[in-house]
Formats: sequence, C-alpha cells, structure tokens
Amino acid sequence: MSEEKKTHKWEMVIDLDRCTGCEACVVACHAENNVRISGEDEAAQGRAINWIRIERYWEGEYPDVRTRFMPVLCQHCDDAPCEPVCPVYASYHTPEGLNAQVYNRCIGVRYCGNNCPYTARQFNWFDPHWDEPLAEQLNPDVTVRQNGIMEKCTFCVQRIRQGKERAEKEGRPVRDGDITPACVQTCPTSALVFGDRRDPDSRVSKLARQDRAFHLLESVGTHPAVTYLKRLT
Amino acid sequence: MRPVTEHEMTVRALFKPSVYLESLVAKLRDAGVPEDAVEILSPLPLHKAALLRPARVPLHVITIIAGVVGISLGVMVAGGTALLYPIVTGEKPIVAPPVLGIIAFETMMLVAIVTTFVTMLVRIRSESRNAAERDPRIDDGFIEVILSLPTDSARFEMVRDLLQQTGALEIRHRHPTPSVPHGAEREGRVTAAVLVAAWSLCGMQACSRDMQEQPSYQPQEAPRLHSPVGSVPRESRSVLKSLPTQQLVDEGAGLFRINCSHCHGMDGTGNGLVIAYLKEKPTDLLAPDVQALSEAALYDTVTYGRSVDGRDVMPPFKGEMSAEERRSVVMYVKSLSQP
Amino acid sequence: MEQEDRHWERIPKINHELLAPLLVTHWTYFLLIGVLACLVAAGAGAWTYQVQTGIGQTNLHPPIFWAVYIASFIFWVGASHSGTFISGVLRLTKAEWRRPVTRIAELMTFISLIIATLFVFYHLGRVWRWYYLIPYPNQREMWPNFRSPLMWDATAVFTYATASTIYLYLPLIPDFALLRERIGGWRKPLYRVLSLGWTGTQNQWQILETAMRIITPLIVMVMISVHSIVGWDFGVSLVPAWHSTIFAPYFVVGAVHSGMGLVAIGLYVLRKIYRLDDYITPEHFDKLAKLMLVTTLSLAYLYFAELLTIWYANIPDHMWVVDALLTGPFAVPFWFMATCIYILPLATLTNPAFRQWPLGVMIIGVLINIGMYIERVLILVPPLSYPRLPFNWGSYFPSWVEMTIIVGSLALAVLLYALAVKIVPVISIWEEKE
Repeated sequence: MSEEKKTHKWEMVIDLDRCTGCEACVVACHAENNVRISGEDEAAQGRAINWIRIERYWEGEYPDVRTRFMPVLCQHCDDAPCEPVCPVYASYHTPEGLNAQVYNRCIGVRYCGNNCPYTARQFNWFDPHWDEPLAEQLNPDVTVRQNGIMEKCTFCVQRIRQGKERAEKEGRPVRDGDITPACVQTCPTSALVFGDRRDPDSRVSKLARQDRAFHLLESVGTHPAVTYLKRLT
Repeated sequence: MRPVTEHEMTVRALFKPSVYLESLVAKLRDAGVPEDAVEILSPLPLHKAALLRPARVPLHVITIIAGVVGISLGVMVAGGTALLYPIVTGEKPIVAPPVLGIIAFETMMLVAIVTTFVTMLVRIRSESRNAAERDPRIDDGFIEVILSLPTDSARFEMVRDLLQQTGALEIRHRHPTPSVPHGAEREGRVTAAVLVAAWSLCGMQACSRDMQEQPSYQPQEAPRLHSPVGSVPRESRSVLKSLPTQQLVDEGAGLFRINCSHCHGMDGTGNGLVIAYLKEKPTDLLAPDVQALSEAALYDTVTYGRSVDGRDVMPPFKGEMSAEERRSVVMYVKSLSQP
Repeated sequence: MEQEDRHWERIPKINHELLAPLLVTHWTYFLLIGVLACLVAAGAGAWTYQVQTGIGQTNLHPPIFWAVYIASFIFWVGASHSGTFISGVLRLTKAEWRRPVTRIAELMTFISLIIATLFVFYHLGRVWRWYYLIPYPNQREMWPNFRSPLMWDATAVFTYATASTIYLYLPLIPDFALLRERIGGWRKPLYRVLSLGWTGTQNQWQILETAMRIITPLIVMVMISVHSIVGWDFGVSLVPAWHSTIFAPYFVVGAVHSGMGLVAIGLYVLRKIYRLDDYITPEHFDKLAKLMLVTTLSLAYLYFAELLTIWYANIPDHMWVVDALLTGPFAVPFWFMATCIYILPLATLTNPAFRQWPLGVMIIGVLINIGMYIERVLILVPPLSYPRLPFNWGSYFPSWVEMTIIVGSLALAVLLYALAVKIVPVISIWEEKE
C-alpha cells in the first residue's frame, strides 16, 4: 500500500490535562478563518458561531467545586454522520481524512447540523458583517461565508495546503510540525497538537498511543480524528 | 371504433336505461351490422354491456413493463450517478443497496403510474366520439346507441324498425363529415417548448457565484489602505544602502523581466512584445539621455509612471513593487549602460 | 354493482344537487376568499422578509436546526394521507360508503401536498439554489447525493404528488365531461380540455375503470412508502430519541390519524355549507369515527412501545428527552397532545351515539389535528434540544416570522380548497349515481 502511505491522515490530539480554558484557540480561530462576529444579541440566542469552543463543566458541590474544560471542534470523523445525509454533496470526506464542507454547494437543509453528535456544525443565520476597518484583517485564503449555509472547523485546510505546497517547492516531504492550525499555533500550554497520523513518529501519533487517550462519544461509532488525553484520577 | 368514412351514415337512438342491450346487439348482428359499428354511450359504466372490444395490449401489461423500466431508471439514477461522480461520504459505500431499493421503488411507482395514466389518456382520446354527436340527455340517465351504417336506405329502414321494436325513444340519422384532427399544431408547439427548455437545462451550471465577491483583500486587488500624503516608508530611500550590490542588480533584473520587459524589451531597448499595440513607443532605456538621469528621477518614474501631454504612457508601479524592489529595478536599469 | 340495482331515476336529481355548489355562490364566499387572501399575503410577506434578511428570522439556533417548518412539512404530508387512505384503501376493500367521501379527501391530498412542498422551500437556507436537489445534467457533472434520506424524501414526495394528482384526476374525467355540457362561461374551455373528449363510450368506461383498478393499489403502496421515508429522515439519524426502528410505521399511522381528522372536518363543513345531508349522512361519520378509533389505538400502541423501550433501557442521552417530555419543560404540550389525540378520541368515539353526531366527530377531528401538529413539533424539538454533549442543550419557541408563515400556509390551503370547490364537484357525481 505505497499509495496509501503517500497520502496523509490529519489528526489532532487535545491534552485536557494541559488545557487551562483560556480560549486563545477560539480567538485565533476567529481571526484565521473569518468566522463571523455574531454580537451580543445573537450570542444570547445561542447563535454565536465558534468553530472551536471550550466546554466548561463543573464538578462537585460548593465549596468543593472544580472546573473542567474541554475544547470541542469538528472531530473530522472517519464515519462522519454529517456527510451522507447531505443531499447535495456539500459535505464530503477528503482522501486526507478531512471532513470538508463545500460552501458553494450548500443549500442549507441543516440535516448535517442535526446529525452531528458533537454539535460542531454552525449555521450562518444572516450575512456576515465586520465594522470598518475590521474587514481589512480578513484572511484572503478563507472564503467569507454568506447567509444560509453551514460551516465548521476545517483543520485550517488553507494552512495544510500551504504547508504541502511549500514542502513540494522545496522538494521534501512534509515534516512533522510544518503544518499547524491556528488554534494549535496559539495554544500557550501546547495542549493542542496537530499532525499526520500515518507517520508513526509524528508527535500526534505518539501522543495518541498513550494510555490516557480517548475519543469523544466513542460509543456513537463515528471514529473521530481528534483524540483527547486525560489522566484518570 | 373504426374510422367513419364518407360513404357511411350515423344512426343514433336514445334508450331508457332499462333497455336490454345484449339482445339488441345480438339482433343487430343478425341484421348484418358488425359489432364494431355499434357504440353505446352511457352516463355510467355498464358492466353487462354486450360489446367490449379488448385492446391489443392490456393496460396492466403496460403498467408492469413501465414498472420494470422505472426500476432500472431508479437504479441508474441512484447508483449510476454515484458511480459517475464517486464522492466519499462517511463510510457509506458509493453504491448502497438499500438506497437503490428505496429510490428504485419510488421511480418504479412513478413510471408505472404515469405510463398507465398516459396510455389511458391516449386510449380514451382514440375511443372518443365527436362530442357534438353526444346527446346531452345521456347525463340524465339515458343510453345512446350509435350505429355506423353504409349509405343504403333499405338496410337503414330495417335497422330503424329493429331499434324501434327494442324501445328506442328517438332515432336520428345524418351523414357525418370526417372529423378533422384538431389541436395537433398546438401540441406540437408545446412539445417543442418542452424540448427547448430541457435542452437549455443541459447547459446549466451547477455552481453559484454567490460568494464570489469576497470582502477580504484579494491578490491582484488595488491597495485599499493608502499611506497618508507626505508619509515616508519606514525603510526609505535614504536609509537604503547606496551602493548597488550585484545581488541587488540581479534581483532588479528579475523584477525587470516580470514588470518591465514586455514593453521595454528584455534588453531594455524598447522592443518589447507588445509594442505593436502601443501608440507611444516605449523609451529606449539604453539611450544616453535616460542613462544620464539620476537614480532618484528613475525611481520616481518607476513609482509614479510617466505621462506625455497629459496621456499616461507608463503606469505607476507603486502598487506592484515595494520601495526596495523599485530601487533594485532602478539599479538594474542603471547597470544596463555598463559593459 | 348490478345494473338492475341502480336507481336511474335519481340521476337528474343528483345532477341538479351536486352541480349546485358550482353554480350558486353566496356572498360570504367572497368574504371568506378575501380574508384568506389577506392571510396568504401576510405569509408571503413574512417569507419574502425571511429570504431577504436570512433564515435567522426564525428562532432556530444550534443545536435546534429543524423546527416548525419541518414539523409543518410532516404534518401536511401526513394530512395528504387522508385522501389516499380513504379513497385508496376503501376502494380496494370495496367499501361502498366511501363514494361521497373520496373526492373531498382526494382534493385534500392534492392541496396538502402543495403546502407540504412549500414548507421545504421555507426551510432551505439558500432557497434560490433549490434546484441543486434535482438530478439534472450540468457542466460540473455534479448529481445530488441519493444516499441522503432527504433525496429519498424528495423522490418520494415527487412520486406521491404526481400519483395523487393523477388519482384525483382519473375519476374526475367523466364529471368534467358532464360539466362541459352543463356549465358555460369561463369554465367551459377549461372543462373541454380537462374532459379529454370523454363521451362515455363503453370502451372509455372500461379503460378508465381498468386504470383505476391498477393505480389504486399502487398509490396505496406509494402512500405507505412516503411517510415511511419521512419517518426515516429521523429514524436513520444519530439523534437520541430519533434513532428508532419504530419511526416509519409510527409516522404512517400518525399520518392516517391526522388525515382522518381532516376528512371529518372537510365532510362536516362541506355538508353544512352545501346542504349535502342527503349524500353525507351520519352513517358516514360513524364509519369515519370507527376508522379514527382504529388509528387512535394503533398510534397509542406504537407510542407506548417507543417510550417503553427508551424508559426501560434508561440510556441517559435518550432518557433526557423522555424526562423532558413527561415531566420536564415539554410536559405541558406533551400531555395536552396526549389528551387531544388519544384520551379524548378514545373517550368519545367509543360511544356509538357520539359517532352518529357529525358536529362531535368534526370537533374530535379538529382536536386530533391540533394534537398531531403539536406531536410533530414534539418529535422535532425535544430530541434536538438535548444533544449528547450537555454543554449544548438549548430550547426553542417559534418566532413571529415562523408563525406568520405557518398561518399563511394554512390559509393558502383553505383558499385553494375554496377555489377548487368552484371548479370540481365535491362529490364524485358518476360514482354517486352508480
């Protein structure tokens, strides 16, 4: 299977023991991916769009309360429930294991959003808007999505493309650490690690093999590409 | 019903619903009137009607054939299109048998029902009598028997007597004019319109231009945020190294090839590829008066372009090249005169 | 039916009485049309507003991506089962009492399907790209994804709409021929086209009856498949309390249940307005009420089976939903719904005297439809409100745009029915003569 070795399988590891819940990843993702700013009113309605969010859970009873943080983003499932339900192929699986969303195909039936057990998919309820001069900081490599379509984490596919193209130009294979999505790059505690799971020596492969590893909602059988690490106490 | 010819006449008899049609038809047959020349019009289906000429192909056979066609249509649509454009979604197979079953069931029903309906329409129309012949009293519960007879007065008399004996309330006869097929032209036009619409559909694009205009800053787009008037680049000309290094000149040569050579030519003599289309010949950069210009003057020309008599003959390169790049181009132009 | 058994002498009377609704128009009819048109205009305005500004005019938000539009879609597809069931199944079983009821029910099927299709369009995020759902050849060689249950749905609803239009039309052909003779004015050319040159020759009768005999069982199968597929839209998903094998039969029975209720309403109203007491008798209401009783019991049985399996297995993700329904935030609508569609019909329709009371049966029909609408919303909203990661739980109540569109669509359905009554005889004239 030499052909298979050539393609990558992009995966992420999230170390919950390292996550401090600072939400730097959320901000970085907003900046990198032109995620629309929803504003106060829409956020109150539950419509704030986040491609990655920090889920916060409380443990114990007052005063012995502990906070648990869990960053959740699109899990890029191998058997993604969101993909086959799309009637127009807006949601499909790339050969590199990404769960891609084709904005131009999407007609907004929103079945994928319902069928995602992680509620990772977000919908554009209105046309996006940025106050001047905020529009000037928009990333030209990422499409600004219009009203009426679904969107979600892409694992910063534009950065993956860039990394692969640079490596090709320099005539070398993509090295581990060449490609970092915005959230991974920003994480101050390096709780997020990204890489090629087909490469057994990549950091992501090594971490995912640890016995702390688990998948979110593993029982649903979606085979997520995001592995969480958590020490059992 | 066989077509009515010019040598025939139509006899119409109106009966009460209690008429015993079977014996009437039998009597007519004995009198030499063939069964297919007899037509019975009624406001209700007469299940015991004597004459029913069965169609050549029974309707249910057509329905079954159409159903099979529908199944293959469904398999083609659901499986064939998936194979034509195989897109991986989740771990579902490209051609999934349960999906084929569901879609094929629906298309089977669709094609079967529509075909049955259309066949029925065609047959109803072909069995239709001229509506003007129809007695409106039929709707109030009478039965009309229509006979097509050869124009022969003796036989007509006999048939009329026969009908009267059976209890006809009223008997009329006339020589019909062959009916002219109507509406064919309009139907043709409708068909043509449908075909044209279907053909134009084939050229349709499956992509939208919905998100084509992006608010983000795009490559090749004119700069949006301009520096205020009079501001100086942080790395301005004065702070740049004054001596042209070979590296700077080489970089300038590359930029010259990209930005300048199509007009000024690869060697700078002004014989670029596009001069045939220019009204104003580009300047020969090797000319002594050009080479005599100062670096600053050349830099300004590259930056702001040049205009002769109010017409722009050379565009500004402020947007295309940075200050440093423009300077390296100037270095290269200066180096052209050196051997 | 033996020819000798027929009462041919009644035919002129039937003609006269059943054509009257098409010929005589009371001034209140125009008032009704006016009011309905205003409501439809309001709904159209709300939809335009929603398309212009964004689907955000609804109160949808993650994790509730589907709500009342889809609930209305299910409801109206369900309502369309009225005609097919009454006229299809009863024609198959040769139940003679169906005769005056079929046309009323078939018209409902036809109009319900138009309204149901509209709701798909209200729901789409980019409705101007709806044609991506059609498998048409195009430059990109892109086809729709038939692995998606929504494509099954689109195929099935299209088949069903086509088939039920044909099914409505078939027994109309002889009636159109009658109307062609009896009604002049602007409707004359219409009837001339629609009657297809029907003259009533014996071969025409035979072809028509054969076609109806063939199409009737087919359309009953299509009817069952359509609501099964609508049920599978939910059943095949991963959403807790949707993912259930019982959804397909449950949806079919539920659809027939609400369809019966609608027929009861239609029968009562038309009988009252057009004084069709000679044709639609308490006997008909009695038969209809018995059918409603059957669907009530079947539906209650299926509902119990579903809740019991979830409750006993006690899987947390599923139990959140059931708890929310039985005792939680959705308890009030849930128990109201249960009262409307199970308890009241069972309490009343089991009484033979009640079944003979047209007004009572009609009221139960209204209650069943209100209850079934709430039931559709409860199928959608509570399971979506409790996704597996509790961080994302949400709740939902429709916005004014959604409500205006729903009311406007209901008005459109009634308006279409009121207009259709002036073109189509509400009781199949020739079948009644027979």
